[in-house]
Amino acid sequence: MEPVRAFLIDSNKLFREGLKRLLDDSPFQIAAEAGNLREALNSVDNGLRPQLILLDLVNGGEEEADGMRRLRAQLPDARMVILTSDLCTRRLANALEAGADGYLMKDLSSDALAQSLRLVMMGEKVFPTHLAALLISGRVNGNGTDMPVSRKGLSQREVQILRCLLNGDSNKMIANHLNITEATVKVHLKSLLRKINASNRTQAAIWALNNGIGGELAGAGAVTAAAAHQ
Amino acid sequence: MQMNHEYAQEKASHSTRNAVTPMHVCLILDNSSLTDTVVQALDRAGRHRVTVFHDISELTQSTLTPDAILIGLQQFTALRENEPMVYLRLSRRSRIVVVLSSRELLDAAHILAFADAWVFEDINVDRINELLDLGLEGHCLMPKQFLSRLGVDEIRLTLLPRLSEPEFETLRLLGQGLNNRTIANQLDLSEAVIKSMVRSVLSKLHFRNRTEAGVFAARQQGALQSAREGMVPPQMHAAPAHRTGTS
Repeated sequence: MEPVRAFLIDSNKLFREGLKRLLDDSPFQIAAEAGNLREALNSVDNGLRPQLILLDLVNGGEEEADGMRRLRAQLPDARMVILTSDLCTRRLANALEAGADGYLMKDLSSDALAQSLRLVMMGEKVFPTHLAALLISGRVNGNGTDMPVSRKGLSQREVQILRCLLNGDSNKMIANHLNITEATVKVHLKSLLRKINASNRTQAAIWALNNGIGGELAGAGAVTAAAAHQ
Repeated sequence: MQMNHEYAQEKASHSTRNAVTPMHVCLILDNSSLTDTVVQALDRAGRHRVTVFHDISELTQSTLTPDAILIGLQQFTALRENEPMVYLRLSRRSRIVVVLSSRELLDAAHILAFADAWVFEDINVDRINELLDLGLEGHCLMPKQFLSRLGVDEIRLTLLPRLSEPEFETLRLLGQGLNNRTIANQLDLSEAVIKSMVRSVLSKLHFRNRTEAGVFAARQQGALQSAREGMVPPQMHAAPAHRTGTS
């Protein structure tokens, strides 16, 4: 296998140095390291062009997803893999949204890590089996990216809720996902239904579908067919 | 499940250390042609000792303790449902890798978390050797198509022939965001009947709620009818006399 230039973003220096040595015999060469997102973005601004990004940002969550989106925007062809010790569904969902190619646990053996990375370079997606099982049963959703423009005077929150509706999420799941209370979800939902003139959540979701909210599906043939039917 | 995972990792570190001895893999698959395919794929790497069984009882009666058990979905489902203690014993000694086809994904979703990894016979069985290595350490490959809604929709479309005619019509109308009463009026059935139709649509196609079903029906509106008919044997095409075809 051709050598692969990897960029390691991890706050733990000892881990970075250790991994670098462990991967010495593998095709994966840690060409650059960064301890945090700011350093990482700086390096990329200065012309770093890795083929593979391994990252674990301390706080995970929003910061990580945001960081991944920014890296993704600058390095559209690089593969991105989260390498963490934290088995967390929300983090997985965020990572998928931001276009991650894998989510690996730090307690992998170095052989299995190299193996996984090789598969990622071939275009496979590698996940912990238990998280992947949740993904399939629909308890974790990988969504499209945020929609830049709002329509019909919808707030960003309302658009987020619409996108959850498209996944068929219950109010409870929406509340969890957006980190707000269920009562707040209901309030948003009510004003949302009024604004788009829908009489129930299913109609709202179908409206979202026909109006291209939900990222990946905009422009799909089925959507236009559905729109024509009304 | 969390515990299960930690336990799994503990086991993993054992098996990777002695990479010198070949890994012992037991096959208990649902059909013999699949068994041939998998055996060939395993042989190609030549790293494994392979034993083929026809059902679980053969394995449990033997004294073997394989490193990994490659098991067909049907066998695995039966094992989980009928013999939980045997499952538990096996899963302590060996890693369990379930072999299934992508069509079975939605039916199997609830049970996949109990396996250490999964292989899709129609997607990535050629990567079985890598998958076994990853499975030993609690990771698996997720086929790309399952990460997109359209990919999952496609699997659902293949399940449409399961629905009865009124259930199918109910699904269609759910795709217009109608409530039960309106659906009842349109189909000339009682609201109680529609309620049960909706329930069986949800369970047969594995939707969590009517919104998910409605979104699916709206998104795939153009494909519903043909997906349903594509699977129906020819003699049944003549039967539906009063279908209100829209798409």
